[in-house]
Amino acid sequence: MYANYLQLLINPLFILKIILLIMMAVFIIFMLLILNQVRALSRTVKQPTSAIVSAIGLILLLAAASLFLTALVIL
Amino acid sequence: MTDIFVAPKKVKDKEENLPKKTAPKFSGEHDRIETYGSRDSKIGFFSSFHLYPRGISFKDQEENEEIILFLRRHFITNISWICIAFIIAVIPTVLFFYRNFFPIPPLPAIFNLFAFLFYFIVIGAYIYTNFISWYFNVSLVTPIRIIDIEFTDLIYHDMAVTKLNLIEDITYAQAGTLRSFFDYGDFYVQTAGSKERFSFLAIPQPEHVLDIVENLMGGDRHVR
Repeated sequence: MYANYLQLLINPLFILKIILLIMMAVFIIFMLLILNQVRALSRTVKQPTSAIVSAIGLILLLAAASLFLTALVIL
Repeated sequence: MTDIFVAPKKVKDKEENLPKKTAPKFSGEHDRIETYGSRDSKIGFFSSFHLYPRGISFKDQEENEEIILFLRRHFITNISWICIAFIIAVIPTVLFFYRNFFPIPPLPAIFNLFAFLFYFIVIGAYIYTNFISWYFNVSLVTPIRIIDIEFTDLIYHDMAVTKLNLIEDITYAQAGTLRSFFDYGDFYVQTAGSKERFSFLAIPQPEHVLDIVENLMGGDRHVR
């Protein structure tokens, strides 16, 4: 049984999947920080196009999150 | 018979004699800023120099405090990261067409697909972070103060304010071919406040900005 686990852990594809998922998770955290900053700056200076900038950031975050979830299921 | 003395006509209303409330006219400025009452258009998405912008406000803005000038770095300063983004976006396509020379690692197609999609999302984030670094680095000039909002780091932003009566010295520097060609440069404000030096870097028309600030401080240079 342990041998099977060990075989899975040293499987290059499994390691690659974990690395890809970690990278995506870090990216999502990074995007959350960015969006938080954008929201704070939008409050500091209200510009007519701030909403568009926030929306673009949100789209990026959603794309990264959906890719992460899909990768978690499919890979 | 010629009149020797003609009495001046009585003024019906004293207000008629008062000078009209007009804005100081800055050198090189268009006629659209003829009076304080006139307003410019709404600020654009890529605007970096805007007089009397509409639809913009800032935190702690006083009532009736009008924004005279809105500044950002000149858009041409973004050209370096735009070129980098373009190159790194094109690289996978080039590699795909010349895949015989650059063999794709023997991975399942699904891995390649996810890596490819993630790569483009990262490029999107690169473009986005660079854009917001430019977009939120804003300087504002009002009749009573100067506001400088810095977004230097992605996890740090700073808002500095100085009153116009605390300004000791203003200078601008415009050196280099690109700066001369696109008419942008650095504008520095020396103050007696807690933040001694305000730097508005790579702003368009720095001489014009100097005129405007100087005029607001009470100077009369280039004011028609």
